[in-house]
Amino acid sequence: MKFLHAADIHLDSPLAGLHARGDIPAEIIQGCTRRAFQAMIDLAIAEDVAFVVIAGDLYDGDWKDFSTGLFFASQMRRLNRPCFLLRGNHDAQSVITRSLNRLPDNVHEFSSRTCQSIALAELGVALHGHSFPNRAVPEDLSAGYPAPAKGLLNIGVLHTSAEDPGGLHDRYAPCTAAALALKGYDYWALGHIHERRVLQERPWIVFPGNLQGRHVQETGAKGCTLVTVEDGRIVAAEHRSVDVLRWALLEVDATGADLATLTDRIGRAVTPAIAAADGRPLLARLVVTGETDLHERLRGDHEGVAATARDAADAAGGTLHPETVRIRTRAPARGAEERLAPLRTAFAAGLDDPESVAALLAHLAKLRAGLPPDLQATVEIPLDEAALRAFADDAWALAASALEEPRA
Amino acid sequence: MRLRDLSLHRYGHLSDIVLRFPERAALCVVLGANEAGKSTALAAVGDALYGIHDRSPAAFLHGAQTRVGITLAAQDGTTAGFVRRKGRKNTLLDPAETPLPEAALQRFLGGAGRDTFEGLFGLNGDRLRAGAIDLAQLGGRVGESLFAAGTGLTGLRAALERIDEEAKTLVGDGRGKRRLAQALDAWHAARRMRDEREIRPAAWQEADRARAAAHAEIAAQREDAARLDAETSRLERVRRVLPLLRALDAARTVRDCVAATPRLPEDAAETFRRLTAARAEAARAEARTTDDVARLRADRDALVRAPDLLAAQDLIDALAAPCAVAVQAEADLPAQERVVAAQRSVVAQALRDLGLPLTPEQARDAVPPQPARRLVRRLRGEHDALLQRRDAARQALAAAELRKSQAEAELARLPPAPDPSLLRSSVEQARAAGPLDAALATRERQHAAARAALDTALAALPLWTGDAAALAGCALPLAPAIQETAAALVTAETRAARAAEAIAAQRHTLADIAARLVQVARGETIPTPAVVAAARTEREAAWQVLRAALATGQPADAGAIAAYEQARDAADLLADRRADEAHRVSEHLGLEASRAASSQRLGEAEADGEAAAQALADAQADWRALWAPAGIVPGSPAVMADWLRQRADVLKLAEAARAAQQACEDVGHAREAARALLLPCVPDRPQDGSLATLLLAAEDRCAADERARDQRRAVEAALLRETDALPALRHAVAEADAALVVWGEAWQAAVARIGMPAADPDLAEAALEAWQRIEMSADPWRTAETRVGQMRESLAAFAAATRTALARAARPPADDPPAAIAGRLGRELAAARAAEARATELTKHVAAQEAASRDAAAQREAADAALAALRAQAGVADDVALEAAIADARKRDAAEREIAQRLAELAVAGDGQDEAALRAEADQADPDALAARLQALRAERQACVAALERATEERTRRDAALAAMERGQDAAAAAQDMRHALADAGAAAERYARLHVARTLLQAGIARFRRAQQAPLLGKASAHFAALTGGHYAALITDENERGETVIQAVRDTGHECPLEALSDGTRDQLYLALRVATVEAHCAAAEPLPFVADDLLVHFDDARALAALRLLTTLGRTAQVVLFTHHDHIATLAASLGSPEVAVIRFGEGAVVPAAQAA
Repeated sequence: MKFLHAADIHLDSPLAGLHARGDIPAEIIQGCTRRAFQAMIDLAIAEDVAFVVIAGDLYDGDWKDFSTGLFFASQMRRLNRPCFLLRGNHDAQSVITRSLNRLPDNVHEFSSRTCQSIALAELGVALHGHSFPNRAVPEDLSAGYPAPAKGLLNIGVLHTSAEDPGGLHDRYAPCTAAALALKGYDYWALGHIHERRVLQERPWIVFPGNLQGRHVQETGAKGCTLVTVEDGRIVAAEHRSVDVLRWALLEVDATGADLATLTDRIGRAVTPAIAAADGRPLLARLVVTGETDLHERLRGDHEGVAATARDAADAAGGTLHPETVRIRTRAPARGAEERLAPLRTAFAAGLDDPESVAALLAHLAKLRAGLPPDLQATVEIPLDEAALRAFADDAWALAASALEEPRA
Repeated sequence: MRLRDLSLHRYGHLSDIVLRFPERAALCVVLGANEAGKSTALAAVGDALYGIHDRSPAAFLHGAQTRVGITLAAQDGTTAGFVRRKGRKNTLLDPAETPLPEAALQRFLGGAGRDTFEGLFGLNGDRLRAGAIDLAQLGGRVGESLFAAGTGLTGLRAALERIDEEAKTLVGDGRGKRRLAQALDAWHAARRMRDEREIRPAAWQEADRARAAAHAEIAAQREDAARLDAETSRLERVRRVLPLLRALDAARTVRDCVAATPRLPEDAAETFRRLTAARAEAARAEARTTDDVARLRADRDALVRAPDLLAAQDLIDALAAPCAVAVQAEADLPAQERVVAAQRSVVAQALRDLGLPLTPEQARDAVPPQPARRLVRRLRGEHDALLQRRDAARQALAAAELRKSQAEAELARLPPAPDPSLLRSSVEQARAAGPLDAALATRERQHAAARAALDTALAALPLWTGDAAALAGCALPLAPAIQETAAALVTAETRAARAAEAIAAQRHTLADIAARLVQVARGETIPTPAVVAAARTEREAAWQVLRAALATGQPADAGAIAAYEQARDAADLLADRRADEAHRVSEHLGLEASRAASSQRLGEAEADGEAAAQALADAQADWRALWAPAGIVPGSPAVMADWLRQRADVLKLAEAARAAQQACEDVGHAREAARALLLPCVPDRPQDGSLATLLLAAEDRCAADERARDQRRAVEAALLRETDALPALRHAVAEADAALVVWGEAWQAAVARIGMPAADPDLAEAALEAWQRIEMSADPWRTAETRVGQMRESLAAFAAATRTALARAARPPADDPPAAIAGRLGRELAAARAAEARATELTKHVAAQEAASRDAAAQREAADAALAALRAQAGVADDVALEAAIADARKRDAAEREIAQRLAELAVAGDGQDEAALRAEADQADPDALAARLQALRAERQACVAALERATEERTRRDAALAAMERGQDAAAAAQDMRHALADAGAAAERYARLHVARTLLQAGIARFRRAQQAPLLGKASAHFAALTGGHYAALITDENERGETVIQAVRDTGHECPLEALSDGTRDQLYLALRVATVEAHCAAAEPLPFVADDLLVHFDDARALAALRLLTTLGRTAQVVLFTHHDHIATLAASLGSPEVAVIRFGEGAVVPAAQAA
């Protein structure tokens, strides 16, 4: 017997970080979470799984388009086998979740009032799950999960930040792997962390990661976990990629490189990423670092770097679309740097003037306040003096570049 | 640090060039022509100090062997030599090429990097001008101006504007939408789009409810329709079965009335009708046939018949075919007889033409054979051709003889032809020499120009009044002697100048000290120890006077007391002042000491000056003596060096004039040679004497000779051609005559064969034509003759047959033409045959009618028998009763059939219900109300259908709406657009934030730099600017402009303040130079001074400005060595004119160092 474990599908949520003027074909981006979900259903049918478990965050919390729920219902009809659905923090606040009261009969939603156990006697399986009643669940829900059903394969379904050492995700229903293991279940189907993590084997405690990467921080293969059960015991929990496009963060060190060397290094960064994408389009952020004579040239030629990466991807037999190009190089400590040293000193001294710093921060705060709330949370505009000092390095690079630019 | 020398071992295009910079020269002017390598040397300084980079253009020639050497002197006086080679490692070497660490050089550089060296200590004319332009663009803002001048950076304002411009494109300045605003607009638009496209759950639920309602409505309507349909069906069934039931009842009544009638066959009525009809018909036929037999027999007996004719019918029939032939022969015979006569007449006429004694019939058979006639005709044709051939040959011979005689006459008339080859050769030779007239004119002009240039140069050469030859031959001193003596003279002059300068300096120093002493003393007594001691001595003296008086007990004299007190106060005051003004006192003492020392040094300097003056007088005497043998009173060494160069130039011009003269003569000789070649050939010599005219005349003569020669050659060729042709023409005439003889013989034989004695070919043609006519008439004549015979024979045979037939038919003979008789017999025979045939036919009809009468009687009897049998079956005695019985039987059968049919119809119309149920259902219905009820039901059903259609439409619409909601409106795409716009807005905001911080901090940094540097820098720059402008501008001050920015103003000597924008370009150049020099000085005060290297710095300066700038650079040179590269002699001359021992002029490439004073 096999079953499929997925989580954090975030149906119809958009990709982040892509610019409107980018040259990424619309068909690559359009509906990618839907296509990934369809691919997952295809996989479930092809593998003839007994059932599917979705451990939360099927929808995006603030997503209101009801056609998303209808799409999910249509895919469930296509699946035509049991699907056990747990509400995560996003689903709890989702208008769709609250309104979609007519799911196909094969979809079983775990109760949000208490931990619900569902026994599938014909399969010898018992599932236990507790949906999020609302977005913020600060307590450890796993504590309320019942003791394992005897003689059955017990699967705990839980949406949780677990211990989340990276702290990248919001803290919800925290718990520890050790506590989960002590429950005596055979498999914990977790959700919420977007990166695939196997916290423990036997018993298996698995975050399958999200189904489709949606920004440059969600790199690598994305998909679900295919669990194989033999003689009432789990023998394998394999990752299966169902994403339709990949993200990559490619950092290229340009230290001491001339143009040919840099091209070669970009190629060496791109080639394995293309190979890993396994034929999928690759959206990549290209970050060039290091001390190089090419510093000035690179700063004015983002498109050149992007074109080099695209060429390298072509040569590697794949497709790469630069999400953005970040030039983080610096010029060797000589030449213009030395000539501009007095000015740089005077420039940096401005940060020692409290009035000047206060005026700058006030201006930047006003700028930030004029941005949409979503953007305010992510935009890199300094809020305090320490951040302003770090920011001033970039500003100096701009000033130096303007000074070095030839007269029109 | 100072440069001592720069050795360009292998650098750029230069090799083994050494530039030595005088140790004591504050300003070193390096003079070199364009392309001499000044810029290369300038770059070499930087490369020597900081390395030759990998792709340096300086290595284009020597590659890895590129080397540059440099000797440096530190401030402490130590010197060191270095060699820099091109490479990546160990590029710094000592003079023995041993690698050195870079640190060995660093102590001379004081930590300054290449950019500092090149940016701050390097300046050229372009950068000076760019800096000055920048000052104007900066609006004189002092911070930027000082910073730009101090760092050598330009474009501060442009950079700030660039940042501003970009910031405006992102956030804007209130005029129009910018990138951030556009991105936010796009975000709002995408958000609206997303909201519009989102399918709301409430909308979905509402649509779902509406769809369910539509489905329910459809179900209700369908139920109503079914109910209505059932009632309609029942009522319509009643309406259908009611008439059927009535008909069934009626049929059953009829059947019951005739139930006792015997059963007869189905077709009994038909059989009865058929048998009675047959019986009547048979009786009518019997009567009719009996009448027909009697009428036919009467007709047969009335016919007229002719057995005689029938007996002769074969003979009569045999006349029919020959009758037509005979009639045709009778018609055609006259025409054939006319043909025979006509053809015989043609032959008779031909015989007359031939003149032969034959009858036409004989001639018809005696036509000569065709081959013989063809031979005569061919020979006739050949005769004409042979005659034409003979005539043509004779004419050609005559024409050739005529042309030959004409050519002989023409040849006799033409004079003998001249030979133009010699003349042609001479012309070609003269032409090959080219346009010698023009060349000679050009050479002469060149010679005149060269001569004029020589004369001008000779006249301009000072110190000389002779000609060029004398100048070339004059006894000049040897170059080493000149160099040595000149060097001594320069040294002496330098020494004298320095001595004079030292004297002046010492005198100046003394004057300064004196003035300072006056200033220190401020007109008061300086409380020196001596003055204090004198005051105390005076006080003591007054005290002694007073003490003596007191000691003696005498009352003190008030004057003595006052004198003492005055002396005491003066001494105390001096002592107090001495204590208070210790510094001034000390300075005064120092000044006094300095004055003494300076006085001593002045004495020494004056002594040195006298010695130097003596040495100078000796050197000048040696210099004059050196040039005396050449008869020249020399100027200064520089003047004489220039004179020597001018002399060399004059001699070069003299050589050029001589070469031009020689070239002129060479061309003249060539021209005369060409003329000499042509003149003998041209009898009519042109008057102008030019070679071109002569050449044209020779060309004409040559062409005329060639034409005469060609004409005679053509006539000779014609005569030869005609002479050669005559024998062949004569032979052709003989051949034509012989052919005619042979033809005559063949002709005689041929005409004899056709029976013609005459030999005249024209007569033969007529005979041939007559025989042709006879031959053409012979065949038609014979044919017509045969046809006439045949016609006459057939007419005779037909007349005999006619007569025989008349006799057989027993008809009397007649005189009618045979054809008429035969026709009449034929017609009579035809009538006889028709009568006979009619009789035979009537006989047959009689027999047939008799048989038909018999058949009718038999049929009548058979019908009677069948009717009797039918009557027996019906049990009746006669046919009338039989007919009634048959009718009753038919009525009963019909009633039974109707009953069965109605029952079947009832089964169909009753929807399968039995008769009893139907009767029961019909009994309950009110037939009168049925129609009205059905009408009402139809109306209800129609309303029901309409309602169902509406409900179906509603359901379809609701289904489509739900399907559209399931598909969605791609709100996700709008959400994706929101993200795109958000990313754009974020990027714009971040970029703007960086630009804003950059702009703010950069401007603040510049202001900070100004505040730190303004006072000392501006003070020095002010003094330099005053010096550079010769006092036209007194100072530089700072002020605020209308925007509150601190700006520089120049103050004129009149006190008038002048903004930077109002200064002329040249003055602004001077201001920038003043700022730059002040900055270098400031830098040198804080760090190791590096050499200030300038390249063609003063190209835009007039002499006065350049002189002032040179003085300023000399002043700077006392702090930091100044090397000025230039290719302008006047700059070097101006530098030399300063007459300062601190200024040296080096000629690039000569390696010589010429003290400026001496160079002047």
